[in-house]
Amino acid sequence: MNLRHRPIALAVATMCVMSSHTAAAAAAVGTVKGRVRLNGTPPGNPVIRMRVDPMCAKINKGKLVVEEMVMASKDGGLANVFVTLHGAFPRTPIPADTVVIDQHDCLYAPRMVGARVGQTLVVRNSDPLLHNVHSLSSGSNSFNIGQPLAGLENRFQLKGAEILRLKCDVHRWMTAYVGVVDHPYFAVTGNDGTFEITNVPVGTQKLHIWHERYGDLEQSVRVIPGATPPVTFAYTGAEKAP
Amino acid sequence: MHSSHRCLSPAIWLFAAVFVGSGCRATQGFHQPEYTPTATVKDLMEGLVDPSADVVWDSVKTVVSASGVNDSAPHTPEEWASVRLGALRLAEATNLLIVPGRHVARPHEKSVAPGVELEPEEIETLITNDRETWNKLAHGLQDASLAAVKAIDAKDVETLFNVGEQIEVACENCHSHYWYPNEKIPAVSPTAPPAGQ
Repeated sequence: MNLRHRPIALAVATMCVMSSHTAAAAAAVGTVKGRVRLNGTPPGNPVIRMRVDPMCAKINKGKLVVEEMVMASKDGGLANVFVTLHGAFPRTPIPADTVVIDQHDCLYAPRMVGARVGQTLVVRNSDPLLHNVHSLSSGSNSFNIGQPLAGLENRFQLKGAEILRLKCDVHRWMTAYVGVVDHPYFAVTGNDGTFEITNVPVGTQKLHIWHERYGDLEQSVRVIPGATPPVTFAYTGAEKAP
Repeated sequence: MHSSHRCLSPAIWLFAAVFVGSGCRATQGFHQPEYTPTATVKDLMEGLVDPSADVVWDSVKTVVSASGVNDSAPHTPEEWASVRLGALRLAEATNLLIVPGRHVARPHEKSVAPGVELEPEEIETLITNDRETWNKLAHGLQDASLAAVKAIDAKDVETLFNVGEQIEVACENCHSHYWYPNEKIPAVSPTAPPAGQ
């Protein structure tokens, strides 16, 4: 090779290498889709005794409000299941956007959310009455703070991975869960029990699910570039509550 | 009767004297009971009060399922007996709560939300300085528990349902006084910076 052409050749070669790396990176992830089912007859959900707080009773007058512990569709799809990968993954930036849970009509909504360690959880009171936010942490996410007015928000930076339960000490039925993980590979099942996790590193991954009534299940999933074959989890309904 | 006493040997008289003497001490001890509370208030709440209240609270409920709206209440003698024991445990737990000398928590246990929840030693000071209020609030829970026992004995499901709410209110009256009295004070404004940072 002529020495005068060497820099150009080097640049072209570098570009080719970069290009192939980018292509490899793009190809090195897949999407995991699936569904969580509950076999058998769902147990039903207890009606909330709003009368304990006359204000809550007034807000919900005429409604039969239930504790949404087991929300299953007619064909068995189970909602509010936290789905996440288990394992060690390269660090990725913490999302700047917040995860919001609303105290609305004397309930937490949504009941199950996912969040990253380091991400900010916002809990808002939309009711014109006293609520509090009391986290039952098994790790470093402890807080308990009053929210006596409508419009008040409290912000909590999540510090450790766990399934974090939130309650309101004033209204014992108010419950929400935050699945806190240290990577971006998680989802919460929708009303039909389906979920989707994008940009999952290819290879064999451990996919883990958690439900407040039925607990944990796990299976290995071979993630391939693009769309991985759908994954199905099924609770028998006989599992012990976590 | 009198003649038979004369037949007792001196050894038996000595034994009787010791027995009566020890009985007198026991009687004195009865007037001045010495309690040895071991569990903390927190232990009692977690191990006895809360689980027992749940038994009563959950005994009557309405469940919505695919088959419709169904009321659930004790039916069998075993189910009634189970909820009765729950109510009795709750009632007796209030006696344990007012035993003098019981600590609120173990030395290493701290508030999970300082500033909103009081520290255990602060709660203990509140209790020690005003036993009357502590006892009154404990008796409030006891009254509700005994009302539950009464409803259970009458197999009165409607009253039992309502009493569950009285228990809830009695619990909250005490918690808001001792455990998190500061939560009614707004700790943040809508634009305040993140808590705990």
